[in-house]
Amino acid sequence: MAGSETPMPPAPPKVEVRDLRVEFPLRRRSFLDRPAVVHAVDGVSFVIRRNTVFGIVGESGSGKTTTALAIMRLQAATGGRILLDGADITDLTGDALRAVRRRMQIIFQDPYSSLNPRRRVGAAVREPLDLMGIGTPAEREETVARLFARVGLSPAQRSLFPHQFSGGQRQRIGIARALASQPEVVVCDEPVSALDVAVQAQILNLMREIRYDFGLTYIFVSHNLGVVQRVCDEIAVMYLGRIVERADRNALFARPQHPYTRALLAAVPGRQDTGPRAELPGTLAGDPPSPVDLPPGCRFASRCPHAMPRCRSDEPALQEAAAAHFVACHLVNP
Amino acid sequence: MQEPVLKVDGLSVAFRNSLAILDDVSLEVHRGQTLGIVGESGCGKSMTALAIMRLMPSAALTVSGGAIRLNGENLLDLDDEAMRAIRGSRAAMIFQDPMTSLNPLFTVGNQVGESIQKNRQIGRAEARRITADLLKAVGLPDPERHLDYYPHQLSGGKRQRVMIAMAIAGHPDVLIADEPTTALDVTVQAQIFQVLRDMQAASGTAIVLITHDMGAISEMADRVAVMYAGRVVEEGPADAILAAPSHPYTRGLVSCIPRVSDAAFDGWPELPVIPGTVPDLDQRGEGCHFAPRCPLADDRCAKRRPPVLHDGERRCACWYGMAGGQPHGRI
Ligand SMILES: Nc1ncnc2c1ncn2[C@@H]1O[C@H](COP(=O)(O)OP(=O)(O)OP(=O)(O)O)[C@@H](O)[C@H]1O
Ligand SMILES: Nc1ncnc2c1ncn2[C@@H]1O[C@H](COP(=O)(O)OP(=O)(O)OP(=O)(O)O)[C@@H](O)[C@H]1O
Ligand code: SF4
Ligand SMILES: [Mg+2]
Ligand SMILES: [Mg+2]
Repeated sequence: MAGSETPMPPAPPKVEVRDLRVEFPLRRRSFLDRPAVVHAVDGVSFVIRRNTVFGIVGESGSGKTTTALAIMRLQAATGGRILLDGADITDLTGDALRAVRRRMQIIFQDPYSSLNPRRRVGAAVREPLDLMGIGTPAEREETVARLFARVGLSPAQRSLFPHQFSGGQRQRIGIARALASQPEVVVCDEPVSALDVAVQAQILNLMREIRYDFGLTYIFVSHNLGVVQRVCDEIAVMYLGRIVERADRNALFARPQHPYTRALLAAVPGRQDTGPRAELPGTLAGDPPSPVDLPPGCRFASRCPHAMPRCRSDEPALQEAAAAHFVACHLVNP
Repeated sequence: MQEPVLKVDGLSVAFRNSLAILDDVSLEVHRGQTLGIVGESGCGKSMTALAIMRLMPSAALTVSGGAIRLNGENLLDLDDEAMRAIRGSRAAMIFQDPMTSLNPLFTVGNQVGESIQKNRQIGRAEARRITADLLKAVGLPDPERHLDYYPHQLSGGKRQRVMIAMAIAGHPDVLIADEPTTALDVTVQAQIFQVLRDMQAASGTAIVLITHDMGAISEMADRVAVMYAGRVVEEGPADAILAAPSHPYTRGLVSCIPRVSDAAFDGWPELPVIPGTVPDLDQRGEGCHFAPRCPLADDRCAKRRPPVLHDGERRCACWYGMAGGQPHGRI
């Protein structure tokens, strides 16, 4: 598989994110408290090429979902720019915003809570078409029937309610709904983590076929590294609102450079201690600092086995440490 | 060989006295050892755990046969009061859903402290100090502050760690952990496995670990039992089974799990799958329950229950599994 790391001529950018920031104001307990914010996403930049799968991994609370929602314009950005096919969509409103949203859809983690229990599933899949006024009612019904067949359900099941389906079937319904408006970009936020292992493989195979059939660009958020390794072309590792490492997946798994990425890979249970990950560090101690009171310097310094004095004062920038392999660490980029 | 701490012998559980949820399940765990239980959703893993703890979720579910021996004593013979005394002291459980076993009305410090005081003659202040140590051991930062939190003030991962602290507080002989880390980050999961191993080394606790994660099995378990549709279909040393599964179901399960690999990948490869789904309770015939999905199945598989073949440390219930195995009682 030596050829797999020689880059193909790069596809044009589909999504570009430049210095994205999202802050959430915190409620003050008393008027004496100083106003505080959660720095959920704090200066994130990347390019996602057309028809590729861009993975985002990182600890719970690191800002993966918020980044994805901000790209879809479902979460307001506090700073930075978002481009879709080269056009800046950061400040769109009204009809223009609605048109852009139609081009990006999301598949959620929990098929149980993302469907209204009192609504027939056919209507749930048709909803985006209704809201966006796509086609005549008869055409919409036909589209829904076709989508049901495409995701491996029977079109007759359109009139059933969510509780009449298994978890895997509900996720198929979620996929059908995401496809209804013929999106170009699909965000998959932990799409299989709530599913049983065997069902997980079936759903991933469905997502794979659909991606090739519909020419989709995926943003794939997951904490399952085994899945990410198989499905993503490029991977960004987030820690406390920032990208600490970004690279081609084969480079990332074979030569992880940031101490956090290395700890993450080391924590995967049952890894074989022979391959390139053999001398990764032991268990990562402690928890990340609060996203409200960010420490100066590197955000990982409090848990990093290699932290130097400089790490506690200067924030490392994301720099190219090897070809197309970006790392934010003073140790790697002295 | 030493007697197992926990020995489940031919356990069957019925729904409304007719449908078999568990069908002749036999398992054992020795002191200081870990038994993993794997299998798809609905195969009866949690039901096995709940039956052992005598915590049936509904009156429609009854034990219809078998024995559950804790250090030789059949738990099925005990009255409710005796069983209550055992739960939390000699046998403890970490539940799949942490909210079911934390009381929303009490602080973390009170709940964990109480489970410590239940087993030891100590005062509140001492219990509070031990609780703080336990919270620290399960990796909660700033344990003193967390003592005064209520469960809803904690993230899912922190709640799960409190549950684990509570379960190990009494140094149980047996700890049943039902998917204790499924919702957690791998780094937190690694911390929790370390805590469980430390506790096991210190007090010889026998652990039953229920999980979907074969990586967790190979890291934590000495032995593994594979369940399918209410039956144990394969059991034996975890390393041997993961390296060379005998039962067609185990083979399918091991292959459809995408584990982190040393190989390089190109594009998005198609993943191996087990076609179909676990049959519903009323769709399980007399024969091998896996037959409708099995690549090797023939008429005999569909009609007759497969024999249990034994080969050294391993057993497997399949008409075609385990070439050198010998028929030997039930699995
Ligand atoms: N609506 C909100 N109001 C306030 N804080 C928020 C809100 N949404 C997210 N946050 C905070 O922003 C940070 C990033 O959250 P986000 O949900 O993006 O993380 P994540 O990486 O997706 O985590 P997970 O793996 O748990 O889904 C967290 O500290 C979270 O608590
Ligand atoms: N309260 C109940 N009443 C009736 N049947 C039940 C009840 N709880 C579970 N069952 C049935 O018992 C069988 C075994 O369920 P169990 O919860 O043990 O599965 P599991 O292997 O733990 O699955 P999972 O991986 O999803 O946790 C299933 O067929 C389920 O539908
Ligand atoms: S008994 Fe038959 S159907 Fe069952 S697993 Fe073995 S070969 Fe397959
Ligand atoms: Mg998220
Ligand atoms: Mg269960």
